[in-house]
Amino acid sequence: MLANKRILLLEDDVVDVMTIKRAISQLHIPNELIVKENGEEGLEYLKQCKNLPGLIFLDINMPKMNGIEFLQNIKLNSQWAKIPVIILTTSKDQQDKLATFNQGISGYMVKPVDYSQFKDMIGTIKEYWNLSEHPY
Amino acid sequence: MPFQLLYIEDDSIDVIALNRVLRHFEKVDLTVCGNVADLYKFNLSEFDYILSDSNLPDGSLNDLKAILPLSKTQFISGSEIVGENVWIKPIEIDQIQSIFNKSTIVNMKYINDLADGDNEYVQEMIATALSVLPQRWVEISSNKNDLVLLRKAAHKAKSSYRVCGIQNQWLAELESLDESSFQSEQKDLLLAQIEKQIHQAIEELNKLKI
Repeated sequence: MLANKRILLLEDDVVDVMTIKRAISQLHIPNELIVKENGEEGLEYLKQCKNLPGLIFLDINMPKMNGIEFLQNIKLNSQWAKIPVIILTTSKDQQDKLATFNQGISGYMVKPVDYSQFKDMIGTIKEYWNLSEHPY
Repeated sequence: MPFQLLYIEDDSIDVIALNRVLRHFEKVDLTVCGNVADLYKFNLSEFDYILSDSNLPDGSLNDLKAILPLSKTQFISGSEIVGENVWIKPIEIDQIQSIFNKSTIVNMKYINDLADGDNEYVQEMIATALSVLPQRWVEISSNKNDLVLLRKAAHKAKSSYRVCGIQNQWLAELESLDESSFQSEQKDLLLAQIEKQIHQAIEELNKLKI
């Protein structure tokens, strides 16, 4: 169940972090939200994590390790590769979109997040969790 | 600084009516001018917006059109005028609000929607935007000689712009600069526009801060 899992947000922009937190609280999503500022911190978190997050929201443009590099890294680990990832970006660049979809992302949202789109995405991931039998 | 509104109107009842509507708005300085001849006493560029009756004792709509800056003027009339986009009297609160929406660059709709009536959240977002926007300008201006870093800084600023409802066409242009336009005057013009835009946004956000 997604309800038992944490949600990991990789985002270096404080304004975006605040809007995501707000959207999660307004939609009464009960999951604990863990925020890390870049891909490096995200990988470190996954390495020491006993209970892997049920969903990752991922910004593309971040310092140190960007979102695409982070995606490439997690796909190398058979457990991490199963975590649904939703891209949150200001980029409408088709190349970015293609690169992330090629890495098997579950969704792509342009910031600032649209409430109803956000709700739909969370709903899809919830369904994934309800249908899957302990994917990891 | 209060919003400077010029009202060109010869009917004192209409002036009283507008004053009543303006009670719903803070920080508006209203100047009233009752005829075309007196308009020449004013420096029209000092006004943020002009509301003008379309028929004055000493001038018609066409006379007024020849004098007034049309980009920031709205004509008003007691009845419809064929082919003209006039407001019909009396002026409503929503119409005045639409003037402010046109004249400001920050649009709080997204933040207000997220806040859903929670003023504490609105103030928290304003405070955060006030701390982030100057940082974004520093990142842009300090990377003005490096195309890759400049484009990245422009990209990064887009999110704060969007949350605050600021038009980001100049940021988008900056983000899509190529090597030749990077070396041209275009970059400096864009940087000047963005600097001005960020300063205005900060000024507007400061006014919204309680």
